[in-house]
Amino acid sequence: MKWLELCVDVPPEFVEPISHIFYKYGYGGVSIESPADFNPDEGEVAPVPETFSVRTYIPKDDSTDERRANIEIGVKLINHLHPIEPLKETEIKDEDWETNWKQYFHPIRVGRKLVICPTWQEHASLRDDVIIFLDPGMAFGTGHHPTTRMCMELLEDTIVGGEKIIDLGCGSGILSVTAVKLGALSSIGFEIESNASKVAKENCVLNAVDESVEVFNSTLPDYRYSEGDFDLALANISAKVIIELADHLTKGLRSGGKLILSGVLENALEDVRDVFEPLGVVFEKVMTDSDWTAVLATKK
Amino acid sequence: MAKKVIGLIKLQIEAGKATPAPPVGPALGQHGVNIMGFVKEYNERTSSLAGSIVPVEITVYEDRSFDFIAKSPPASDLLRKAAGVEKGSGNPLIDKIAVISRDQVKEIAETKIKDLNAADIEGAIKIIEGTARSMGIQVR
Repeated sequence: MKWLELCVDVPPEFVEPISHIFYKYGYGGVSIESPADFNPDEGEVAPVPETFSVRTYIPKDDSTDERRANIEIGVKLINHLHPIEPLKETEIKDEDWETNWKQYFHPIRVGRKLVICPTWQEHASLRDDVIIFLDPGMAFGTGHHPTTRMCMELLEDTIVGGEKIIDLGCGSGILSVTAVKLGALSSIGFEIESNASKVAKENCVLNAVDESVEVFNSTLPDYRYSEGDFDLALANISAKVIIELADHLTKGLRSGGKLILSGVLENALEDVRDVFEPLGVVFEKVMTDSDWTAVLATKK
Repeated sequence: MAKKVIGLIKLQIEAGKATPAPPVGPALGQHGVNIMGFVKEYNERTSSLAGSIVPVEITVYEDRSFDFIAKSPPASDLLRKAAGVEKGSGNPLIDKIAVISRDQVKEIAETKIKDLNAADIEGAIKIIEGTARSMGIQVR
């Protein structure tokens, strides 16, 4: 998809009015950037900027001309109050930012023997390493976020071999791929973002587990399953979604089956526990990292 | 190890609804930040404020890690929601578009006080009342 980036450099006192105009007629919001090149650990402080770069974006579609015209009028009005730099326009594409961060994504080790390796990098592995090849694209799940890391560590401790798994909000597919590579029999992943579900399928192929992992571009209530079908349920999403789907997640599990839940902040953990306990789910282990939690639980 | 700051970015986006689309994607992608990592952090930490604009100040470090501080929503946004109106009055001196209670103003002042230049809650209430007047919203 193509976008028009509109940017104007303004002194501090004009950031608010320009932001208001950009927010009203741009798409999705506004970014305000000031120069930064300092090291707080060496006693340096952020420079006081003379100008800020205020940006918004408009999609290249039928609405482009109208949105741009409104923004131009607003900028001209402010220019009457105080001369500001002219509006700069740059055409950009999704790919321009989607791939930039990849150069900073290097192989990382998680738990005892898991290694996440971006597909565009090489990694010298140790004998017992389990390598997860990954191209996450714009799907969540690179292994860098505390919730993903903790889920992978819990998987490493939980998988004994032969498990049937359900993976709610599978993102890049990283947890399903990890589980199967650790010995699980199969996994069914659900992802409501269509791009992410495509990415998950591609990652399954990259790791040669595509015959064991099915990915659906949908969510749990839309899938027909029998009660007790699964040995393990994974859900690294958010407290809100986990609470909403607690009943479905639990019904699909056999008695004695495990749940690994994450994407829950510490301050929401008790709300999640309060929903699962009446469903016969016992929280056995809670991991925390940077105020995120991951839970290992068992269905009685 | 000392971490150098390479980017200071403020985003004004809707709480709980960040996506990799603009402005988040290009603003963070140009600095090499893991965009989906930010999206997850922002959405979960602001989910209770859904429907409001929650500005966020992001610091990007040399190793492309980041941290951020979520600010309170703009006073005008909170007032608009409290009054149940789509937007402020075009002519606030003449056209009064809504009425809100002093308790509602106090609630907004309590939400905003940490981001306002106010010595105490009374000072914050005065600032919020001023914003309400400029939007054509009366306080009774």
